[in-house]
Amino acid sequence: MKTLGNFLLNLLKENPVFGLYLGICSTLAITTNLDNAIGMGVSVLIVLTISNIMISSIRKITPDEIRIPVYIIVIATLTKAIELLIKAFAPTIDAALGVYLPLIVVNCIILGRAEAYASKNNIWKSTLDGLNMGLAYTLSLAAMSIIRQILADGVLSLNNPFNSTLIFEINIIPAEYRIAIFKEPIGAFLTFAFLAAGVAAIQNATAKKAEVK
Amino acid sequence: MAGLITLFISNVVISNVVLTKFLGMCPLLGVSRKSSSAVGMGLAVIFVIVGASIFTWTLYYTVLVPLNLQYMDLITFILVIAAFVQFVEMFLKKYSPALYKALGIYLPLITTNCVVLFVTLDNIIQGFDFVHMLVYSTAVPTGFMLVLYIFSTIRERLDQSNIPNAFKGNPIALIVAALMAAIFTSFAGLV
Amino acid sequence: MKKIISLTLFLALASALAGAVLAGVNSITAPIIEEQKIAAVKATLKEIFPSATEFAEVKFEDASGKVNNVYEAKGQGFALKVTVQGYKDIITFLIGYDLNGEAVGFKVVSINDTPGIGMRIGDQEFADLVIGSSVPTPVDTLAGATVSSAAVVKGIEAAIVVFKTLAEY
Repeated sequence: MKTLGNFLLNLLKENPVFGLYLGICSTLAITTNLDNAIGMGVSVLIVLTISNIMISSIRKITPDEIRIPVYIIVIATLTKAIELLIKAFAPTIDAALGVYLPLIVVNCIILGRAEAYASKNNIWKSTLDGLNMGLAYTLSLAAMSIIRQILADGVLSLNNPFNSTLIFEINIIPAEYRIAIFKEPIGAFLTFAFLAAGVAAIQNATAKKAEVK
Repeated sequence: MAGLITLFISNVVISNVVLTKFLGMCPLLGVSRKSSSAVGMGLAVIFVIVGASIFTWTLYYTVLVPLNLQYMDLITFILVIAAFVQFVEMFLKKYSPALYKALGIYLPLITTNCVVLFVTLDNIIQGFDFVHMLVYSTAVPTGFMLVLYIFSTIRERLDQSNIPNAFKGNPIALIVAALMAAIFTSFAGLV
Repeated sequence: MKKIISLTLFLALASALAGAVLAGVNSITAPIIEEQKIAAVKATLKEIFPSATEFAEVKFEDASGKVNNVYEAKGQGFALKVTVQGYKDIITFLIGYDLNGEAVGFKVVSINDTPGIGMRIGDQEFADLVIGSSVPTPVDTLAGATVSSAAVVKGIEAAIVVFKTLAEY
């Protein structure tokens, strides 16, 4: 229970997206509905975890001078493999994510974790770090997409990406009160700004508490 | 010819890479504090994107396609971009120290700028021929530079305004981006 | 010097391994992706010609540059895939004509215009208008979504030109 509490606290305090501003291009672009957010989040989670495992396992034989190109090769290979697999088995996700799928390569979270964590820690720790960060990223995307989808479409729904059957659908806002602008770039920027401000406010509050103590 | 002009204008202002595709957000939030550095960064990005596009486009159609290695595109492109940036940096350092001083500090940042990889990939996805590729790969970073510059002039002002604590820094910058995106939607329908 | 060689070798080895991995993945996924593509095209064509069983891609000449692909539904008509510049982004749609030159089906494949305005041409209302039209009397623009629908109307006109070269009607 304590670890779960720690995880949630860290999710707010050291959030890779809203706290550290990593990987925000794709966050802004694909969070128009929950399907895309989960698809993107899970893809990043898989690439991040496997890249952490691989980079950690070759950390002792990788020459220091060329470590960045080697990391890039590892990440690009994994990304392309995921892209091909998604194209083959979940074409609806591929159609929705489009070019943002190969752009996982330049998602700063992955190279950042490779350089800052996996290159210095053992395989087991790096795996946990990858899962942890990937989950935090997925949850951040999901939070943002839930807000945008509810405000713009008035419904919250989730489809099975492999055969595009509806898993659930809840109607929340009647058609005449929906705010279509949240589907647009403006809505993406606004939602992100308010979530980031919220995270900053929590960080400020905890920092103050620590000072008082 | 008219098609090329349309392609250029629509990619500079209408489907602006920053405000509609959200690419290049990191440099936008990181570098855009001073208008002079915004121009420097913008010029460096234009140069690298045009160069990298010519390289990757040629490589794709003369090497990867004949060998049926299309699935190697991502690895090849990202390595070409990294190598190209490194090469430009070394070249400038040796032969044009003045230009190196002006652009040098931005060059290493460009490798991880997603606009570069996006343009090289999109050249292939859209199936552009050489001329369209050149126009497209000039237009996209020009749009990037335009937004970067406008953004930096606004941010110079923001630093002196009274902003709620939680919004200080990046959140207010994103609100500015939202308003800019709203303004840029009025360019739609221009072509 | 020795160092540079060993570094280069390491990178080359890494790239070769990467290539091998991707070749493996590609050999599994390539046929499935190809199948998916064909199945996706067939599914949309089926919406336009529900009773047709056989579709074939046909060669055609198009001066406007708007018509991408033409598919023949054996004995029933032709479906044309058209791309035009909409209000904000490009619009891709399929339009089907039977052998008498009557529009029998219309489906917007991709569109990204203003919600509530341009996006309305993806709705049933506009599809019904198009399906009521024919080669001699093309469809009119949609009030309230002029820019987007005018673009589509132009695309339909280009499709008609191509259709006339294919069907003896």
